[in-house]
Amino acid sequence: MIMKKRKGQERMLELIASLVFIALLLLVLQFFMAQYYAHKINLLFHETSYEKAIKVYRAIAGDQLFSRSSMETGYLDQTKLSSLLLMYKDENKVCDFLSSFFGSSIYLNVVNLEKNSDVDCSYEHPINCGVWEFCKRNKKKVKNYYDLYISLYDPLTEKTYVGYVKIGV
Amino acid sequence: MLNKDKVRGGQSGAVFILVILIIVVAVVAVFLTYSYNNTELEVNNKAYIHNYGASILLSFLRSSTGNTYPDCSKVSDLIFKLYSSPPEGKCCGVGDKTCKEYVYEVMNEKWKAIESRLKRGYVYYLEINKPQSNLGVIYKVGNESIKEVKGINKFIIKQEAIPSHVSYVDYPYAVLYIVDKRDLNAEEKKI
Repeated sequence: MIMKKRKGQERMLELIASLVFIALLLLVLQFFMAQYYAHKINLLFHETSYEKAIKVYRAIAGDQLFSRSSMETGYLDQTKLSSLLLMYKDENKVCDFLSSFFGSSIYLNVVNLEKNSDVDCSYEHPINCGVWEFCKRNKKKVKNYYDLYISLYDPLTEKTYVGYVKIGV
Repeated sequence: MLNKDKVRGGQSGAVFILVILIIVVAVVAVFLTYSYNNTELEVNNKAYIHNYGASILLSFLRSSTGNTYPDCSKVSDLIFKLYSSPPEGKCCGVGDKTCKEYVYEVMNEKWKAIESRLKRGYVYYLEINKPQSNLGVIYKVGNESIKEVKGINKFIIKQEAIPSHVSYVDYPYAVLYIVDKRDLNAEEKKI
C-alpha cells in the first residue's frame, strides 16, 4: 500500500516537473517570438546603423555646413571643422550641435593623413592641426563604427589631402 | 523486481527531461539564428566595403600633389601625364627625374598615407590601367596575388582618373581590389 502511494507520488512529481518544463519552453518560445517580431518591425521603421553612417558621411562631405563652398561637392573643409570648435568653445556644446543633426549617439573622428596627422585640434589650437574628434562622450553609447576615407580641403593652402573619417552611430 | 522497476522509472524520467532540454536548446538556437537576420548584415557589410573602397579611390585621385606646375595639381592629373608622356620623358617641371619616376614617387607617398589606416582583415591591391581602348597597367601597389582570388568577399572597385584640365573621351582608370583575408587563406589552402 505504502509502495503504491510512493509510486503515485513519484509519478505526480514527474508530471509536475514535465509541466514546469513545458511551461518554461513556452515562455522561452514566446520571448524569442516577441524579440523576433520586434526586430522585424524595427527594421521596417528604422534605418540600419550602416544607413545612418552613410547619411552622416554624405552630409559632412556634401552639405555646405561642413564641405568646401563651391560647385564641387565631396570635399570636407578643414576650417569649417575647426570653426565648430571656435564657435562653441565647450566640447559638449559642439557635440550637442552635431547631435541635433545626426542623432544623440553620434561620434566623429576626422584625420588628415598627410599633414599634422598626430596633432589634435582644439579651441586653443584650431589651426596647424590634423585630428578632429567630436562627441568623445558618446564613445560608450555608440554601437557601430564605420571607417571611410574623405577628401579634406584646406582653404588656407588651397590643397586637398587624403582624409580618414571614423563615424560612430 | 521492485529495484528494477525503480531504476526503469528513474531512467525514463531522466530521458524525458533530457528530451525536453534538447528541444528547449534547439528552439532557442533556431530563434537566435533567425532573430539576428544574417542576410541583411551581410548585404550591409558588402555595401559598406564597396563604399569604403570607393572612398579610398576618390580621396586618392582627388588629393593635391603639391606641384604648382599647370595641370599637375592632382593625382588624377599626374596619372594622365604618366599615360600621355613618353616613357623616359619629363613632366610637371621636374627636371631631375623622368615623368614616371616623379609620378611613382608622389603616388607611393600618397598610398603610404592611406595604408596607415586601412582596415585590418582585408588585403589590398591598387592598379592604374590605361584607358579601356588601350589596355595595360601603368602603376600598381599592394598584394597583386589577390587579383586572381575567387572569393565571395572579393571587391573590385573602379574609378576613372579624370584629370582636371582636359575633356577627353577615354581616361586611365584606377582599380582597387579588396579581398577578405579569410578568402585568401582558403585559396592558399586549396593550392
